Amino acid sequence: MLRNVLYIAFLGVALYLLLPQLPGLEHSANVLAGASDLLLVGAIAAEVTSLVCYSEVLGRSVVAASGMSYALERRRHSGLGPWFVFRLAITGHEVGRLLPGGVVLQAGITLEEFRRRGLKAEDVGVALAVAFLLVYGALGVLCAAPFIYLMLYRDVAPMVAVVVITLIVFLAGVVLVARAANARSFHTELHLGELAYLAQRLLHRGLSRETAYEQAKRLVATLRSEIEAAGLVLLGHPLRSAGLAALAFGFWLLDALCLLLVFSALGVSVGPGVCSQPTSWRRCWRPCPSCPWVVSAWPREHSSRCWHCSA
Amino acid sequence: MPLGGLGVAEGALVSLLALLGVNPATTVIPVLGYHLFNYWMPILLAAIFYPTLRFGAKKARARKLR
Repeated sequence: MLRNVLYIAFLGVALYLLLPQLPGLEHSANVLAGASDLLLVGAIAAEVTSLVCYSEVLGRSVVAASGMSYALERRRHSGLGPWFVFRLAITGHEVGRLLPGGVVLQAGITLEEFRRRGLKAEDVGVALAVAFLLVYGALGVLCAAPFIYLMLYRDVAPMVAVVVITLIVFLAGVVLVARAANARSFHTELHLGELAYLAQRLLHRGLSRETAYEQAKRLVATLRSEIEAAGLVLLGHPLRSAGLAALAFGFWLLDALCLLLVFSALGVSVGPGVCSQPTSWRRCWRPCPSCPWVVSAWPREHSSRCWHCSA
Repeated sequence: MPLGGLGVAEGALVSLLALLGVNPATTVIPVLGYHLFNYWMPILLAAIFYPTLRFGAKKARARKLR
């Protein structure tokens, strides 16, 4: 309910700001008539190439996670050729963006189609986690650059700077805690077991301390094996990992190029530096604030994977 | 965000460009044009591709089992 109210409020503010700025119909027709066809075609090509990059990140992650050969013929023979992966990646991406359920629905559809082609659920789960990590890690790096630029050369509101720096410190803290937990697994299981027991007491589930400890131990073991599998996919072959990272960056940069080309085609000149900042911030902004699925994507995606793995 | 942030994304993009000194009156049409390629085109592609996802699945699975 609150989310819908916030969405309608934002839409109202956007319309209030935009409507007075909309040029007249005659002016719009003149702008469109004067558009450069070549640049518009280039913009479409950039956007399609961006989607291809996204699909290749997913496809290559799946191939690496399932231990298959990267050879194109082998991929086609197994039903995981680039054309199938492109269709699946686009469908999943749009479903995740538009429909209620978001990234959980996207993960579910992707998992189902890969399982139909004979892949194991665990492998697909690891591949999805790696693909999301690469794509949104690249976005994080690209957003950091304009943020630093805005902080150094423009006036960024102190509150915004404090919030972003706090978020970065929090994420760094989560990574450090996870590493420490992985290194000292006995203590981790002990503390998690206590937390699980307390949570169950609060929820009046009535389960014993031993059961809570067993559940915590299973959770830690599952997480560790999945993190190791994801690490193997990401870092097992440095050249392939570099290729995956390049594709992830390519997805966002080609999208920004599409924006630049559309602006140029319609006769509005802005520099690449100016255009890339709103693109990256818009990508960050789009999932916030009414549905912060970027922050919750990992646990939701992970829980959907766990559910499918156990199904 | 509901509907992938339709409406809000355009407003945010125009606002951010205005913050960086670009006249909002000149950026509205290019932003809408960009959104046509970035938002509506993939939706159309997804609607066309979704029914075709299961083509070849049985054959691929049979090859994998062999």
